[in-house]
Amino acid sequence: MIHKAQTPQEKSIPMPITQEAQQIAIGFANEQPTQQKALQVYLNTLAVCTVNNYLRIMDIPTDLAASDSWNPVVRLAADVADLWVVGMGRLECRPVQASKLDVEGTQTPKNYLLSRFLGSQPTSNPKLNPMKCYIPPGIQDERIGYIVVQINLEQQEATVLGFSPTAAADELLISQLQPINDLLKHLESQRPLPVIPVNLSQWYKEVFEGGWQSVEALLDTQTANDALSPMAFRHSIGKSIRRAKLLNLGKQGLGATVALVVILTQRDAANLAISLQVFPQGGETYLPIGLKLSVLDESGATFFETSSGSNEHLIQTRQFGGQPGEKFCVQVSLGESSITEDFAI
Amino acid sequence: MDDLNQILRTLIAEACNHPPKSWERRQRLSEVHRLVMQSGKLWKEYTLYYNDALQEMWEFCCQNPELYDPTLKSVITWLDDYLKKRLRNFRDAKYRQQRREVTAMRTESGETTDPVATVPAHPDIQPVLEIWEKTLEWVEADPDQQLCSACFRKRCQVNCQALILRRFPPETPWPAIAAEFKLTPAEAKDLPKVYNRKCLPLLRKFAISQGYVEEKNRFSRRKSS
Repeated sequence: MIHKAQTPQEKSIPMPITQEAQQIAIGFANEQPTQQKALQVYLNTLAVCTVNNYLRIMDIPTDLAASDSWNPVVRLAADVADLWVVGMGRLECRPVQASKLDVEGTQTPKNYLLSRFLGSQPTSNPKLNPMKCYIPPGIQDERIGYIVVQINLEQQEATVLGFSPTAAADELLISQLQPINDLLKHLESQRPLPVIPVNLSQWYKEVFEGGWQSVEALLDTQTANDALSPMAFRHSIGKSIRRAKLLNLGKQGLGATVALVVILTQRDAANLAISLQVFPQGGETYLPIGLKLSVLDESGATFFETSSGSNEHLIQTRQFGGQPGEKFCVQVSLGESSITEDFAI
Repeated sequence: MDDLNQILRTLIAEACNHPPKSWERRQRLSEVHRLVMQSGKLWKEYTLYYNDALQEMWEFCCQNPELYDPTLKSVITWLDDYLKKRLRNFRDAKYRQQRREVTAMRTESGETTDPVATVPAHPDIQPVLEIWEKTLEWVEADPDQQLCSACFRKRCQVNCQALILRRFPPETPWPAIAAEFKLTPAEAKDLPKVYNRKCLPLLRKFAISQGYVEEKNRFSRRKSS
């Protein structure tokens, strides 16, 4: 039933426009200096609210405040209709109009409020052609998908027409859209795979997970020596193991690259002592200011946290103990960018 | 109707077999939502808050499909019951609001006024151009020279200030901007992308500095009251 081929009619979902969405859209449109821009913002906002309402029903968290469509300055300078899906990225919610507005219609309160936008409506705007949906140029690299929403201003109803994971050109053909159900699976594929924790006990058997290299391979000799701080030897009876992994924080080369170093020391047969350090990479001498290193226990509670000030060569945790079977996770974050590594002892 | 009910029952039963937040569960609930909305069989009434009540009902029922008991009622009746409950809440809230307004009028003036006069007038539809004016002023002044020093490739005249001013309403089309600056076809193709990557972040920052948006990404799931 779910997988059979569907006609465009079958795959579309009627989504009534809520009063809440209506009020937000009118508010945003009222900030625009021209009627044409006001109509663009009004329709974009309704499309974003409609998709947001659909995702709320599907219990998929979104963040309107992080979306450009919710930013009053970006809205003025670009044709934006994005919706930030938490942990995934921007979903484009493009409006198409169902039919031309009846300007001479009865003076219901809705029409009264909308009357400001009507005069400027172009008679043959290709953007409003319901066979195709206009996609503003230049956004293609920054979207996780596209949803087309048909808006009928007379009926105060929106219809989610379908979804496309990509948009090669500056328009999408309505007939080629996938059913919105496919979006749910697509979002799932955007989610990182469940992480298998790094097994520290295996390190003593010379079994290292991918990405974990010898400290010397990543850091220069001096830094590598610094990495083996005296505290690692405290209470130690067995040998020490050090491994490092590169972490890239931030997207598209805008963030920072750092090395996370794990130092293991065997206290006795059943106890391991662990400490963590973070060093700058990518030719940097100092860590970026405000880089945070946190250690969380199995329940997700933070039991250690430190962050870098200015001119710091490294940040590190105190030494902590662990027994086989225990788990913890390490978070390295800078601003909004964060990387989590899971460990099992 | 019976066929539809059978399909809906099966979908809800299947959804309950998958853990919350799994796409398999969401896909089945999305099917329930689509089939019911397309059927037009839900309770309908013509109130201003109907669509908001409908939205709240769907959020609740799709997050709690386990509450559906097929031995008691059809799926549509189950949804209708919750929808009517939400509608009642909206109606009660509206009455409470009206009562408050009437009481307030009595207290202030010491005598009863026509309650109709207390119904809010149409919202002001005059444009609120404060943000537009401040943003335009900032882009034109470019006090830190941030905008004019962010150039497109090595062409200094094609900078963020020049581009933003052209893209502000009334939006100059990209081909016209490319022609004005005599860009090659390859450059013209790249221009909107560079605008999004270079200029929009500066505008986002300005919006934060002015307090128009919050700096921290926050998890926003507003519930209508």
